[in-house]
Amino acid sequence: MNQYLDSVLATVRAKNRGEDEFLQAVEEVLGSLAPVLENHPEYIEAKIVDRIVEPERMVVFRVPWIDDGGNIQVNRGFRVEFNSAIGPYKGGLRFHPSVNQGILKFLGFEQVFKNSLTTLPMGGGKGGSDFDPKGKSDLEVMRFCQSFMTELSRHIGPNTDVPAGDIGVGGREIGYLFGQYKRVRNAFEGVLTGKALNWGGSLIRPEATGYGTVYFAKEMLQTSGRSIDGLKVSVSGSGNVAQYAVQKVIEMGGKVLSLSDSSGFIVDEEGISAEKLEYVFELKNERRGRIKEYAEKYPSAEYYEGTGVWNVPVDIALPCATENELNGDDADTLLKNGCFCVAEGANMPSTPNAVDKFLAAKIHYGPGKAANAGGVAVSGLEMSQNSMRLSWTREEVDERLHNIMIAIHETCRQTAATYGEPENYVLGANIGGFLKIADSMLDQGVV
Amino acid sequence: MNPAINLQDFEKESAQFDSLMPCKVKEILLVSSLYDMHNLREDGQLASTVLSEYAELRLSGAPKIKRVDTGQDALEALKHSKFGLIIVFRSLSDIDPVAFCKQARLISPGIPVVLLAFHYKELEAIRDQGGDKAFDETFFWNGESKILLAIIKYVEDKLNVEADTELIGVRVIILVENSVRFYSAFLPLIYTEILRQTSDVMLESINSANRLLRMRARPKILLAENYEEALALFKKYKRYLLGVISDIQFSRGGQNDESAGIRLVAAIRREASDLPVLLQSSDDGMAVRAEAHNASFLNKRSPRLLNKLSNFIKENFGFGDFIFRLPDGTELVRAGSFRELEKCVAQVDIRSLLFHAEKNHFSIWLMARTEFDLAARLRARRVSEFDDPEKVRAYLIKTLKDFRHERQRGKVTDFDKSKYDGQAEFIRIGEGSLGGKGRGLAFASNLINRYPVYSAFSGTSISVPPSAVIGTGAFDLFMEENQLTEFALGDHSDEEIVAAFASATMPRKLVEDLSAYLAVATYPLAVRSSSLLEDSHYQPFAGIFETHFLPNNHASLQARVERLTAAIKLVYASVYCRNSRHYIEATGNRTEEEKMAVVLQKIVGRERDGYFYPMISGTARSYNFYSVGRIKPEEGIAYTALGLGKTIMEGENCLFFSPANSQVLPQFSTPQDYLRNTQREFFAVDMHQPSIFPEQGGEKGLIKLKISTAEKHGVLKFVGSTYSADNDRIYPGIGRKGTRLITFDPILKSRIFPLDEILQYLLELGSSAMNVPVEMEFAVEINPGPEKAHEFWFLQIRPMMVEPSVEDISIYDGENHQILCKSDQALSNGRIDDVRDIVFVRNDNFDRANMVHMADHIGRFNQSFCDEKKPYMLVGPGRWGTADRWLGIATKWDQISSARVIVEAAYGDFVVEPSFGTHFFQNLITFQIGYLTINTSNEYNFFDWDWLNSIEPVAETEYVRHVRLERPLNILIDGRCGKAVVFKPNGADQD
Repeated sequence: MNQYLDSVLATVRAKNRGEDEFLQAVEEVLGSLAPVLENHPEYIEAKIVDRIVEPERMVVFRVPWIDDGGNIQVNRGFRVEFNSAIGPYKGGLRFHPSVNQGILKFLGFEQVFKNSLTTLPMGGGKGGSDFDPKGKSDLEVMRFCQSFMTELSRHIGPNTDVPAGDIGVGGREIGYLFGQYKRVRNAFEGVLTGKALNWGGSLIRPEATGYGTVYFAKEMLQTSGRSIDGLKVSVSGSGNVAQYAVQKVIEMGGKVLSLSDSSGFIVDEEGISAEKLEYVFELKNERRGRIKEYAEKYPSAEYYEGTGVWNVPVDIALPCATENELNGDDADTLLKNGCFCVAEGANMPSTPNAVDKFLAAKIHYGPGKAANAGGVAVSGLEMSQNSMRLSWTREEVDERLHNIMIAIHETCRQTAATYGEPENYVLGANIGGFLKIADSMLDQGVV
Repeated sequence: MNPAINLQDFEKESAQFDSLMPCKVKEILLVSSLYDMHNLREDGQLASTVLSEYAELRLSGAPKIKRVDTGQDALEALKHSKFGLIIVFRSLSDIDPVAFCKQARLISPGIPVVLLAFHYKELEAIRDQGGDKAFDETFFWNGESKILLAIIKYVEDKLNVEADTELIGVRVIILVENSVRFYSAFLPLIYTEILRQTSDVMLESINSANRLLRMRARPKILLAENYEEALALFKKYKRYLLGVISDIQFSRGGQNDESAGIRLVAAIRREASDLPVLLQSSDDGMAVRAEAHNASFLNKRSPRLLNKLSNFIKENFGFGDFIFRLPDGTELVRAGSFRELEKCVAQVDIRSLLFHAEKNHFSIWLMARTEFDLAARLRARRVSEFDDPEKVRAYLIKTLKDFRHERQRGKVTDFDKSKYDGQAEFIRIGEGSLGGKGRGLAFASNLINRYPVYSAFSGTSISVPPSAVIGTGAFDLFMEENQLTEFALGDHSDEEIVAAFASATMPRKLVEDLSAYLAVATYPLAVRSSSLLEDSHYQPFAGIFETHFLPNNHASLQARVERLTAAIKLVYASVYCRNSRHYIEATGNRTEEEKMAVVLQKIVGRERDGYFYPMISGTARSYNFYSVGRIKPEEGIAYTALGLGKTIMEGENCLFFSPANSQVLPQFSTPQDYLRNTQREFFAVDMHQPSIFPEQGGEKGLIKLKISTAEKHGVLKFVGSTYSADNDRIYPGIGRKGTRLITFDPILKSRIFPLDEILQYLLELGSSAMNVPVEMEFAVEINPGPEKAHEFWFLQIRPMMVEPSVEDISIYDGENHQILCKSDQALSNGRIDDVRDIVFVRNDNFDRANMVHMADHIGRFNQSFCDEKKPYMLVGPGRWGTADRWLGIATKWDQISSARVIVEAAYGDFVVEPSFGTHFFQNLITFQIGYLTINTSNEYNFFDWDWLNSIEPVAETEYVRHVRLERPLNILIDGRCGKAVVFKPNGADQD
């Protein structure tokens, strides 16, 4: 890291003692910016980095509410509005006892770059409360949400700050929050995303991340003149992301050979067809069974206990299960078996060691922050639909999602190429997201 | 709604009978010479004579007899012992009997004293002196030993009649006779007849305990010696009179009146026109006068006196068969039992029915059987109230049927294969104990029926399913006849034991009884163990022994019997299987002490498309040692599942909630929690396989079905919700598309059924009755239409084990060098003193960023403990099992499953959050793992890292360390207050 960045980091450390997660995130981002600053001295002049690591605004407020026993409870609410250079603040609300300012700053800071990468006009922010919805009745959750929003509504709006859900904030909470906002502000507007379909939510939300991952993989392949059609694909996991990734691969003519869950994985040499995928939907979403039942149903498939899904020789690997599921050994195996494309549907599924191997091998590697941005993208599309007071069809949303993933890919690719590592989409993602914001901040003066 | 617990209500009926005859003669002081006593019984064994008289009449509690020679000896004896009766002979050597009587009463005021004369002249002499008034009664020894029985019963009746009539309406017979000789001869006759006939009708009682109690409600006999006494007794006991047996000639107004009896009956008839009266005289001419007053007549000199007396009692006092007659006396049919009476009432000529109804014959007949309530109920109704004669019949049919069913409710009925018709709710087959489960079931049945529980909740009936218990006597006989005991206690594999039992023969009588039982019980059956030692185990339905589920729907009765006996043999065999033997011995008992009763319980629920299951089954505890969040331990906990309760017993996904706070579900917060942790399948009895034979393990006959099947059966809508992926939200009910979940929202949130209230009510009732926390099993069927009430079935109740040996932990509130850690957020209860190994996440180099790597390290240590079957204590930061790398360590359950105690300690500034995410938590409870959260921001909490770090490790990795202590830790958890203390091994603070 260069001297300037070191000094910024030192200042951040001094000003934000004890906020380990935030400091780690800042260090990671700053660590990749040295080459950028070499090319853009104007950023140093304008103290872009000094400003970018400082939230534009943090609101801390009291949230009193009454529990079912008639007792008064008091929680703390937060909203960290980190950066609005490219659009209104956008980021989730987290209700969890561990929530504090430091964690929200870390999450908000990451959100800034994630949102920027989507190419949609969304700034970054994060909020929440130390309220624990676990062990609370529906009415208590409602009362809390209403009290929380009564205060938060002063600071948010469709053109200001558009929160979404996160840990502890699901459809139920979004409903209660929106209801109170509407009441307090006397306005029905797209102030939250993650809304139910009946009142402004967007279609394709469950599918978005899975579809987006495959779209990103497709774009990567295209750069080397390939397409998914006819290629063998390995998918890990069997939740939403995996299921819809498989669906999209099948649509594009690819052959998916595997799925997994926490107990083991299946390999179907015949490939998972649309009909078999329907079975997986029913198995996992309706019956919530184990993936091994797939092998019991379809004799063409074998079931294996434990890990090992990356041992299957494939062309494309789509890790869609969980963090750190693909380590250095797995990466070696994939590479040895001829895999030339990895797109991450999960968050950080590849260990740093595995990532290094993929980068060293110069295969198509799409890091999660770019490849799995489909979910965030659809949030943005929900905002767009709300602004237009329209609800797009599935096909329309899907098409726009596809276009966004193309744009994300293009950003990563061009940025990576600009900085001399055309295959390094990690670099491309980190820098690409930063550049858009930095340029916008430059344009908008010292604010 | 809280039940008003009142033990008096609970025991009301048995208490009433138990309270009858409070004054019983337990010991007699006989003041006589040896010769006089010898005259009473030739071989001199008077006590045996009395005993055999009692036995012959199936009476209990024969009094002891103490004989003394002289009056002085008697007075001395009175000073030192308590006697119920003194019988004194005329021929006392040292004191005049009258004087003796007076002195005796000074020592024991109120003690009955009876004079027994051997010769009539002795009586005359006493009367002449006016001494007879000193005694409660004088009797004449006529050579019959039954006189003693009569004396005892007469004295007891006199003492008890007032209280007994008032308490329960016990009936009274008045005997009017002034001749000592005659009533001394007649009273024994009457008593013998009354007692024998009462005893005969009591054979219909539902069990022997019931019979003995009801014998106390037999008619009492009061003796009057003159007109005034007789009339006074009549007026006093008019409401309770069965009848009057009277001489015709006796004293009236101080003068001898030859027609005193006639006048007496005339006076009686003015107030009781239909009261049976028997007049006696040696003058046959009196018969006409008797008849004129509608009284029966008996010649005292008749050689068939006894026979005629017996007939009179039978025909007029309600004993014997109920003889249906036409008004002209033509006999139509007889009924010897309730069941026969019911049948006859349904079919007999209406004229006969009305005749008997008008004359209150039904209530008289019932009174003889001590069914006073029912008798009074019938007596209160008049035929004239019914506008249609057939309505009288309908009323009688219903009343008798309801009575018969009500009589058996809540009681243990002794099984009689010739009479069993399925009405009795709880029956005992054979002899011996009911065992722990059987006792609990009997208690539950009694509890439900004693309190107004059945209809305490409008629109819901609360009942106990019909059950039969095969007593431990059958087990003893089985083991003996097949000579299995020695083999079973030997060193054999479980398979060998099961094979030996399966090929053994069932006792013939048991097989016959079971055939008769199954001829009526054609529903699916749960065959459950009920061991003798079970109560002392107090384990929460741990499933040490097996339960077998039988569809019981084979077309052949023989086949059903074979399957049932096979299941019973498997239950018997399970006593000697390894698991059970270890368990029995671990609780300080010996396997050979164990005996097994077997409960045959109707499986509650409905057949749906060939699968039999209840809509909901569950268990509930009134005290919860794993309380989380705001749920307090004393609010209790309930576990519910769709289908058979096996889901809960096996520790599979189910719902838990506190009945006191059912809106709060600690298991679930996000839709993902519901998706991961709600029940996905349920158990049912497969009715498609009637030929299936039960096997070891209890799995045969059961099938696991998917939720979608419940939806097809129309069951899911009462217990399910729907997850909408588009909206990321759970909606109660199944009215929209999406993933189906078993959440019980329609019940707990939409409140279509007051499950939480009912559970609270029953837990409160049970724990008040048992004086300790209780746990219960239940099942529910929800019937949506108004024509049928919802059904709540109470399956079992037992006291909870509450470890008494945990010390008062609060005495360790201060710091103490002997303590490793303290917590005020502890789950579980009891003492753990077998843990020597501690595996902990190191705090010297702890970095939150590395938590993501720690699960595997911990898992490796855990595996080694699993292989060695050793417990250990695990210490780490929260949350276990989280997917979020910043919130905790992403362990799977099998990576920490061998931990006996888990401690979530503070690591630097990392805030500890208790891991109450579902399956993890469910496993904690299932495996009874102690769980401590050390939150050092709270003063009470403490962890001695210095001491732990000072111990040389056995092994360690980059993040995790294992130490082994020379002596075990002493871990105390008090689940009542949620506090725990872990002591270092003794003396370790000196290390």
